[in-house]
Amino acid sequence: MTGITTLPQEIISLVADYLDRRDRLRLARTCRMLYHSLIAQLWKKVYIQSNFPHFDFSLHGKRVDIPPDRPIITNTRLEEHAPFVQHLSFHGPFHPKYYAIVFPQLHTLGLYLDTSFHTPCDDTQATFNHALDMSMRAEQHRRRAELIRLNPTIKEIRIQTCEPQPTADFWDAISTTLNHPTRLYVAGLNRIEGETLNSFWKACNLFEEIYCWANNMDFTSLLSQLSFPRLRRISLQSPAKFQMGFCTEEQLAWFQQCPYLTKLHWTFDSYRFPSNKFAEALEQGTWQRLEDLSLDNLNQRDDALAATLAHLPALCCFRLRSSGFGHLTFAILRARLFDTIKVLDLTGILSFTSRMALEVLQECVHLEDFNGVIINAQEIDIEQRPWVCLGLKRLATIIAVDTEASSRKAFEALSKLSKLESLDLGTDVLDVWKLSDIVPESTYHLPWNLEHGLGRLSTLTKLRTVSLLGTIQELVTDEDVEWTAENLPALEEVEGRFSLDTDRQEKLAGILGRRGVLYFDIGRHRTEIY
Amino acid sequence: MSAHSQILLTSSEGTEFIIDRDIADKSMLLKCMLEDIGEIGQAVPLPNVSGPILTKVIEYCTHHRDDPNFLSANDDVAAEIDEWDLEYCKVDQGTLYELILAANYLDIKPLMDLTCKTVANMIKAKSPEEIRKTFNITNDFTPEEEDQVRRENGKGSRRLS
Repeated sequence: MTGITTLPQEIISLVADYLDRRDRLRLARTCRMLYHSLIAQLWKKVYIQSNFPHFDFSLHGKRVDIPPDRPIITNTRLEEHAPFVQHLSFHGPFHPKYYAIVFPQLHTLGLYLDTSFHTPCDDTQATFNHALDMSMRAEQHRRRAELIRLNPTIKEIRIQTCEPQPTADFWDAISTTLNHPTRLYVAGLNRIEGETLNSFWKACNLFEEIYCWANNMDFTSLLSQLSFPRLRRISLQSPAKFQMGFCTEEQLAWFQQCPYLTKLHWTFDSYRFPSNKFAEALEQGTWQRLEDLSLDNLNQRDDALAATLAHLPALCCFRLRSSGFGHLTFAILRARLFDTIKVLDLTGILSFTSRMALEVLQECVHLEDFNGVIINAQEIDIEQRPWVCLGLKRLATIIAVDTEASSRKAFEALSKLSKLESLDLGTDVLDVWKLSDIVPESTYHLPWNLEHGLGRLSTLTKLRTVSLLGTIQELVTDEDVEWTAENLPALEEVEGRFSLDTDRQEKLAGILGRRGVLYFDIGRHRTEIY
Repeated sequence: MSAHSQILLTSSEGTEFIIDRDIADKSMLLKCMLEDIGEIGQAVPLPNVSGPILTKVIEYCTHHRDDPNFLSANDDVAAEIDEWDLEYCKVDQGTLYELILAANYLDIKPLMDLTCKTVANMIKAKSPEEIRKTFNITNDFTPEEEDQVRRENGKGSRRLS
């Protein structure tokens, strides 16, 4: 008889793909053959976190003996299994021995030092002052540069820098060792300059994709001879509280040295946004291949905003955050983007009106993902003005209804979007306070009721997630929820409260749960990372 | 090419099976082969698949004949297995492994995912000893090795996240 141990190794790996780490470990413990089949998989991704006490202070002539509350992988075990490791993340400071290991298959390396967590804080050991901590971190940067030098196979590198910033040597390790790396994530850069900055740019020059979260990144000494020919995708952002001194003009100068950009996600300080220069760069066709553009905090007035975006290339994806958006800017989007746009995200732009949103749905044939603000159901007229975006997969918008008839119109229109996978009618992402300036609060909510036409949605056979977060759904009955669980075959998740009454809420959630639909009443965090 | 044309397959023991072309197309192996060489009217030999297993595979492909999401059906690791599929997999372990091997050989990804997931579900939340019992596995570790494996990966270990 064919037994499980006679299956080829790759099939055992496929089975193990469906197991979590603990189950895989238990399976590996049953016999030699399975142990060897699984060991490579078990060590493929390694994430190690050191509690501060694990750091060997003998380096600095000091030592702390606080017992570890979390066991970590010893460097010998890590070294033994190094041939299997493809993704490796270090969280916290480690002994230099960890940084002297060669990982022949290493693809992704994460280097993190969380300064809040790893700052010595043991009250009984007040000997650790800030200076020692700084020297420890500098030491870590140096050792980590050595690790990079030992591992030229790295393609993707994720770095969280901290004070003191890594020196030129660290960035040189990247630029002199790595061979055609693809992605660089870097967070925590702060006022690096001179030689270090030059080395940083040389390192950047190797990558296809860069994500940069900079605090006070000084771009002024950008190496003018670099042209970043490999760089395709840039995401650059600065947390709002550090906006002062964040030099947008120099950032733009950098982007202009990257002629092959396909993606640019840019969060900046709107007061310093070099709108004329950006408009000129667009007009001159600086980024011929640009497909995906995201601009945050572009808080110009409508006329100025329209002038800035007047020469937008034919993008597939466009995301804008702006308080000045108006008809002039909308006219630019219509002229430049409607024929090509697949992803349009205008979340939070309260001046993006229902009529504009409807126009997008009526004109953009290729639209797959749309984040609007609000649609007034009474303005929907799919007889005269059908929605053409039949490939739409994700739709996020409030649908405001005033009568049962307009609810029916809304459900009728939604029912045509048979490719829809995600429908978000929630209001939580918007400032409802401001929204009430536009429409009366009582009308935010498309009632999720069969009586109002919910039954039309049975055509949405691919719908996987529905969000009603922040909407009031007191009209929902057991039948409505049962219908939802029964008639949307692909449904996996529902977000939002059906009732303010806890018992009733639980009962309705139970109906979904029994059908295997996940349910989140207060929603999951929707924070975007990178 | 007619959608209703039929294909002749022979299993490892030489039993002949006549199936519709659209059923054969569920197997990427057969689909590519038929597209490359065309339908030559001869039987396609499947020396790695026995008659009973081939019958079972054809049963699966026939049931999912008109399934528009066939190729992406079991992509989601966490998704529940549907009732028919669940019933379909209620076979002895030997048959299940042979189904995995056949699905792998014929390159029918949804069947591969389904059968692997079924085996995985038999492993989940069991102790090593229970897994050995379920799958009739002989513990061939020496006591020292077992001790080491247990220490390395043992209970309560949170060494690897």
